[in-house]
Formats: sequence, C-alpha cells, structure tokens
Amino acid sequence: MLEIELLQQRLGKVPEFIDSELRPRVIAFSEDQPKLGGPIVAALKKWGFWIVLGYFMQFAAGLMHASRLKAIVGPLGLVLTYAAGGVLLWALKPYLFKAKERFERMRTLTALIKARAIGFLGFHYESSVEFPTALVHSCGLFTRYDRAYAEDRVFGKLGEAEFEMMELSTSKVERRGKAIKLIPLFKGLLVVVDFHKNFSGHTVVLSDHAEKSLGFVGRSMQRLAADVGLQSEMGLGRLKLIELEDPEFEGKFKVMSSDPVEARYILTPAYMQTLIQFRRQVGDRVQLSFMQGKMIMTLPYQSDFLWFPIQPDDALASVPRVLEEVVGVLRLVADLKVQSNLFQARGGSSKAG
Amino acid sequence: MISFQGGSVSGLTGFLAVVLVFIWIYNKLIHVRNEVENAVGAVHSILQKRADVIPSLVATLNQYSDYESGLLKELTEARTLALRSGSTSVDALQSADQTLSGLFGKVMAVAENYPDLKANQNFLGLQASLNEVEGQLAAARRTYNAAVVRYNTVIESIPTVILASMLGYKRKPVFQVTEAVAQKPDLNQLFGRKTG
Repeated sequence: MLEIELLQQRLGKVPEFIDSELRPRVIAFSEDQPKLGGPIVAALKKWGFWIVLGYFMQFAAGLMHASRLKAIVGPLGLVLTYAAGGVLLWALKPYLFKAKERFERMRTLTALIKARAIGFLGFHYESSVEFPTALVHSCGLFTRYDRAYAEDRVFGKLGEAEFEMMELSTSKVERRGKAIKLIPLFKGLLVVVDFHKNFSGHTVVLSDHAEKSLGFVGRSMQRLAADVGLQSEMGLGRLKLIELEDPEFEGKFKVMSSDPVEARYILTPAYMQTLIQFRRQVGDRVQLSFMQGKMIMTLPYQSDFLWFPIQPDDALASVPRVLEEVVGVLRLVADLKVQSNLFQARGGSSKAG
Repeated sequence: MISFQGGSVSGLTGFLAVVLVFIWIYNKLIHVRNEVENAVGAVHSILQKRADVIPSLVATLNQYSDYESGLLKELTEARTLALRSGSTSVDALQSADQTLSGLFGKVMAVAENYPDLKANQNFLGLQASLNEVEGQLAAARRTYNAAVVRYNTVIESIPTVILASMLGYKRKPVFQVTEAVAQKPDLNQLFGRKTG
C-alpha cells in the first residue's frame, strides 16, 4: 500500500488520538493552573478604591480657591494615589509572575501538542531550526539574500526515502538614504527528499518566465546567460541550459544541468508531464533541484506553515488542520515519486511506494 | 590622403569582422561536433554497462537447468561481440543496442514461466539493475539525438553551412527504434521452442 494511503488512514484516527493522548494533558494543565483572576480582581477592588479616592481629592483640590483646606487635600490626594498604587503593584507582583509562568507553560504545552501530533504520523518535529545556509547556497533555487530564517522542521521517512520540510523565509535589505526597507524574496516551504542514489551531477528545474514573455528571444537570452555564468540564482555556476523535447514543459520550466544525460535520466517524458500537472496544482513558482542524491523543492506558501494558537484548547482544535498540511505536502512529494526513475527500489520491483 | 586612410581603416575593420565571424563559426562547428561525440561516448559506455550484467544473469539462469539454453548462448555471444567491438559509430551502437534489447526482452518474457526464478533475490536485483541501466540508456539516446539535431541544424543553417560544407561536415543520423525491436517477443514461439 502506498505510504500516502497509510498516512490518510492515520489521519482518520486523529480524533481518537486527540481524545486519548492530548486532551488529558490539556485538562491536567488547566486543573494545575492557579486561579489568578479572583485574587487580581480582589486586589484591584481593594486598592483601586483608594487610588480613585486620591485622584478625586486632587481633582477637588484643583477646584477649590486657595485656602488651608486646599493645601491639605491636594497633597494628601497625591500621596494617597501613589501609596495605594504602590501597594497594589506590590500585591499584584506574585500574580504577574505567575501569569508569565503560566504563559510559558502554555507555550511549552502547545509545542508538545504539535510535536506529539506530528509524531502520531510517524515523523519528528523541531520548532527552532538552524538555517540550512550551505544547502540554500548550493541548490540553485534561491537568489542572493540579506536576511533569512527557518522554523518548523518536520522530518522522517516516506517509504524508503528520507525527507525533511521546513518553513523558510529570505529577504533583501534596500537602503534609501536613512530608510531601510525589507523586500521579501521567498516565503514558503523547503522540502528535501533523499533517495540514496549515487548521481554526481546537479540538475535544476526553474520556473521559466523569460520564454513565456519573450519567446525565442527569451530562450536565446537564457542560453547566453547560462554560457557566461550570469544567473541570478546562487549555486548555478556554469550549469548548462538543457533543451528538452516537450514544448509545453520547455515553455513552463527552464532546466540547467552539469550533465545532460543525467538531466534526461531524471526528466523522462512521463516525469515532465507530471511536473506540468504538479505546477498547475501548486502554482507556477515551484522549483526543484537534484543534487547529491537529493531532490530539493521550494514551494511558495503564503500562510504560516504549522501555525498553532497559543491556547491549549485552541491548539487541540488545530491538530487535524496541521496534520492535513503535512500530509498535503507529502502527497505532492509522493505524486512526484511515482513517475520518477529516482525512487525505484534496488533489488525489487520498479513500482513506487 | 585622408580619404585613402579612411578607406584603409574601413577595409581593415571589414576584414577583421570577417575573420571574427569565421572564428566564431569555426568554434561553433567544433563545439557541436564535440557535443555529438560526447553523447556517442555516453551511449557506448552505458551499453557496455548493460552488457556487463550478462555474466551474472547467465549464472543465475543456469541454476534453472531447463531454462532456454539457446537463449543464454545468444546472450553470451552478444556480450562477447559488444566487448570486442570498439566501434563508436552510431550504426554499430544501434545494432548492439537492438540486439541486446531484443535478447533481454526474450529472457524476461521466458522468466514469466519460472515462478521460482521470479522470486529469486539475485534475479530481482539483476532485473532492477537492468531497469536502471535501461533508464540511463534511454536518457543517453535522447541526449545523443538532441546533440545531433543541434549539429544538423547548425551545419545546414546560413551562414555556418558555407564553412561546414568546405570542412566536410556531414549530416548525422539520430537513434531510431526499428520495427524489429519495437515488436514484443512472440511468447508462443518461445514456449513452443522450449518444449519442442
């Protein structure tokens, strides 16, 4: 059975998993938390009265004509306001620390819920991720950037192939005089699938805009840019432009490779059609790179990947949506696997999955 | 005097332009010719790789004593021929490719009649290796055909056709699948020969 079908079956068991594994933790957390609302309101009522009285006295003193009474009421009101305010803050201090502690515990619990939920699918999760600088610089899919960050890494095995996906964002800094503007370059997913195959070359499939808008002239310019090494993407070096037989594919993608035979081994006629369909599904900015036995894919993604609300109850309600997001991306990878030479198992049938 | 000098300068410029164009065309012809030779080399090396699978395949099939021995003999002979021939001419490569493709097709078709063989780990491994090599060979053929199409286009286009014909550049053939290879093996004939 295909791995994706197994994952779909697992998704069907998510409500049961939430009720048996996650909800008890959330309930235990809620019961364990001190009730902060009551004491805070009581303290505000008790000392708030004196603060308001002090303000009232100052206000009244302001309306009085100069007299001995005014000289007493005004300063007394001021002292009362500050004294009552100070006592209130002192009384609230332990509760403020507890509220901060509670917030931190909620964040920890929410992160745990996320990790357990993704673990339910058989994968692993890390919220803080080191930015994969070497990979980003060498894969040929990113333009030069000034700032970048990565987070929310999910990794594991899909059948025989190991994968990881993470949310990535790159931007460049534009200075206009003293003003600094951050221009976003890429926000979305970086997906890396390792097929454990030995191939030495580097093949990149980029989204083609030049040929689409400029036709034959665009293609000639692409060829010239490739020949002289003028590419906006990092890591392309002197990869050669490869022209393939499928005109529809050629109109939508630009292929560059260090080995034309290897490029055609990867991009069979069937796989080219799969990529065309894939592009229709996910948008025209999807790009792929094949190097060091890995397929690297960038998928622009506007919303926050794996976003969880901070409140544990709301986080529980988000678990099915988040798991659907992960399976959705893996379904896309599996669709690409089916027609690819690269995922055929050694020593077994050539069927994928 | 001045107009004579102006004429010399423009004449010299024109001559230099012609020389530069000549160099550009010459280099382009060399480039496309080398691309074709590289592609032929790649096809040759992958065909050799495919032929190297034969000894392991024959050793595995020999375990099944009633396996079509005539077929195994043909395979061994085809490999010997492939290794002896150092020719990288397209016709020789195409002929070797077609011979081995036909024989492998027959081997796999006959193997359908041996359930034990189909479950044999060695055989499955060899089958996977052959599938992989076939994929590489298909890619190499496509690369060769793309290089040849580009070569033929360059030598037949103006202005490169002028220099190409002077230097003896001739049109090259592409790899084609012949009708014989495109046909599936006749299983009835194979089974009939085995039992006969």
